[in-house]
Amino acid sequence: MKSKKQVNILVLNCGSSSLKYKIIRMPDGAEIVRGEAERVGAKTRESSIITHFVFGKKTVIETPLADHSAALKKVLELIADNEKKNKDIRFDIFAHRYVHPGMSFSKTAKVNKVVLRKLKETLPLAAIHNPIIYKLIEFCHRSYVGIDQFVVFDTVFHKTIPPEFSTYALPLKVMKKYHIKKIGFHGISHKYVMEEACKFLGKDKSFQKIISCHLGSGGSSICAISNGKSVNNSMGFTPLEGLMMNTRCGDIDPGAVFYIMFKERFSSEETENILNNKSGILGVFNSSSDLRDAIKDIDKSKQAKMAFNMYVRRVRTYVAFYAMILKKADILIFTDSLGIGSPVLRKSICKDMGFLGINLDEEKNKEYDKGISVISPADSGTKVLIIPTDEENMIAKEAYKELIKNDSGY
Amino acid sequence: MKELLKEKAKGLKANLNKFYKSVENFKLNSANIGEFTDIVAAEMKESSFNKITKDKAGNLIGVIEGYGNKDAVVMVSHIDMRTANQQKLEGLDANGMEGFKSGIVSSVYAGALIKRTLLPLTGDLIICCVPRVECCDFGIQYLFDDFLKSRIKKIKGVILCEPTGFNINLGHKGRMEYEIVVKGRLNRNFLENRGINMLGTMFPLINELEKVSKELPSDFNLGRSGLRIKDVRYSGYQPQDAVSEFRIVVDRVFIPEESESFILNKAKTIAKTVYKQEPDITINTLMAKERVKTYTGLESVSEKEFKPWSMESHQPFAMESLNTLTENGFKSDFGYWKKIVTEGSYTYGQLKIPTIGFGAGSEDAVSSGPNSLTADKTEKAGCGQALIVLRSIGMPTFGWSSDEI
Repeated sequence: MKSKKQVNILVLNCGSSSLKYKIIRMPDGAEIVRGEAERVGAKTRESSIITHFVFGKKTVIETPLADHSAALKKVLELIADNEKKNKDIRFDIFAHRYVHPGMSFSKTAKVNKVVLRKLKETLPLAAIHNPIIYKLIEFCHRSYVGIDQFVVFDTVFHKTIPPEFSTYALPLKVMKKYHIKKIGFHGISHKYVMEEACKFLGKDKSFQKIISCHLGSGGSSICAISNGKSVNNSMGFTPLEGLMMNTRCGDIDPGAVFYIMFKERFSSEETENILNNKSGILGVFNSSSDLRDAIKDIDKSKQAKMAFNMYVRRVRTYVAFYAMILKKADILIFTDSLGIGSPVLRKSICKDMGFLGINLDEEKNKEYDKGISVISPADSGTKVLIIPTDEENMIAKEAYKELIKNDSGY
Repeated sequence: MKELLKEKAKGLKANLNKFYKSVENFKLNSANIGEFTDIVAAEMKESSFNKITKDKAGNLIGVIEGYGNKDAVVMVSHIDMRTANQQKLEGLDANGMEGFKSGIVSSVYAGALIKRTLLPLTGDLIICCVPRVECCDFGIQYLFDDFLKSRIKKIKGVILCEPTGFNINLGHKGRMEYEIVVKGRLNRNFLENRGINMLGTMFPLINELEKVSKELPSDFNLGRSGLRIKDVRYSGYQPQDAVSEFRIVVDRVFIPEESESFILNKAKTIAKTVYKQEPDITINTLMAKERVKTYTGLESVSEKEFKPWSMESHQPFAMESLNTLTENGFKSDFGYWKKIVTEGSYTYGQLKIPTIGFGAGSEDAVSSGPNSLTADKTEKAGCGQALIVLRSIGMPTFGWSSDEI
């Protein structure tokens, strides 16, 4: 039986060829359904699949998925089938993750015609990602009249980054004309792990200085958080800035870019393809874009070792810089696939950082299995934590907060 | 961009092949052109074009709406309005790729591909299939005088979906049809010293024109001008007739350095020189005209002329188009049509809107009958056209080309 304020939220998290989804019961945050549609839209040798979990029970369906709307339709059919057997498996509202709303939104928004119009204006800001999400929101708005939708933004958390950090040293005229500034990404994930860390340690986030390392097998970013607010993020105007990533170069001397362009007679598009899709771990290691593969080969391959060392060096640079900005961090968080899955990576990052208050308990680090865990010694000035990120859960929380604020009927 | 388009193209393959076949197998003539455009319009609808409309001249227009400003790129393909009789005369196979159907398919496919990528455009993409009467650009004129009238200044470029062998074509010679009319009176001994055989009296002028055709000027890019006697007509050769008259119809291909008035004056001078001994005759030269009746019922009289045009290769729209093609694996270069005429005569020759041609196949494909082009080549042309559009009115995706953030 649901209480009056209990709501099932279907959270949708789009990639350019994937659709992750979860039904989360709020306010307790229980996960009812989760799954992912892969290879959406793309006709590859392997067909599109949906991996669907209901209360942990897994089903895999091979089915053509022409676009994200088709994927969602199929997912909703699966949920409807589940509902026939169990009335608890249903959803009351949609909540979407939206990548880049620019300056148009400063908080979670309930979808209506005005919001749709404003969202449409943000499509160029992330021309590959935003239109896909927008189209899905539009599809839900059209096809599921009566079901409320909320949009949660990935960049809003970084709106508090001070201008001295968010401004590039470029001509003001150019930056104003094209709205160029550091935006920062992974905001939903950084906010989630911040809240979970404070809850776990019994601390008030308003008085904590946190460095959050979202180290993924795709994109990675580090965030400096002071008193619950983002004050810096390693990603910039686009997700290309910052750390070395799976195929992205991260920070680079622009002069090197121009030199390559000149020498190879490359266009901006060809150059971007190199920086975004052929660099990073893949560029240095050459055999794979996954750092975990490089770690496996670290004793056999110089390139693997180099890729690993470079990756670590970049993370350490940001951790040290952010520790300096925060005047010593209270909490250091590792999250996402690499942050959670690689003890050797955490150990290398935290090595010799005692002068910043960062120490690691090697046993706790090695033995970490799952959930939230402190991996620093009890007397460490900075608590080092491992926290699995859950963007969908954060999206559900944000949507629920907005729902309660707007609608006393729930 | 190439990877993104390639990925989306796979998903459209089946649709493209089906559309290509239905267009290729359609026996097109002036009587069923409306039915043909319905098939194209249905494909536009299937591909989620934002607007599909037909104007009074029979132009089919599909619009993919962009974001924000009202800039536009216009893609033009043409549909030949040949009568069944003309087809028979010119030996064109009614089942083949007459009217270069590949251009129609590739332009619609390019639009579908752009739609499929979901990439927002800064302006509108306007895809037009223009009915063309032989040697007269009535359809394109109407399109720009009507549907596109208010947008002319905001058009960043026109892509002519004509055969170019995947090159960027920048122009071609002009083509006009004119008549030399010689009038006199038999009862006043019209051409008496040559007898009253009309063919005999015409022959010296025909002969002189043939001589002139061998000495016509040439353009470095476009090639040599040409002259062909297309038809001869005569009337009033009976003694009781008040006026005798003969007309020589000339099909003239010309380069930008030659103006229409210069050509007509020169023809008049030649005729006057040939018949300078003859008293009491009048010689006139005039542009041939055609009465056009579209399948939509619109009637008009149009001069039979396509202007020559040649756009500079350093024009930004041309340069950017070539760059995007070569960056994405096309072995393209700048080129010019040597044989055919296109709507560029109007879009660049008259309106000065930056215009390029890009498509699959050679110029000979237009009249080489069925199976001269494949769906694969048409698909490649569509991909190239989509790349050109995205370079011109697409949005930058720098820093965003990875699947996840």
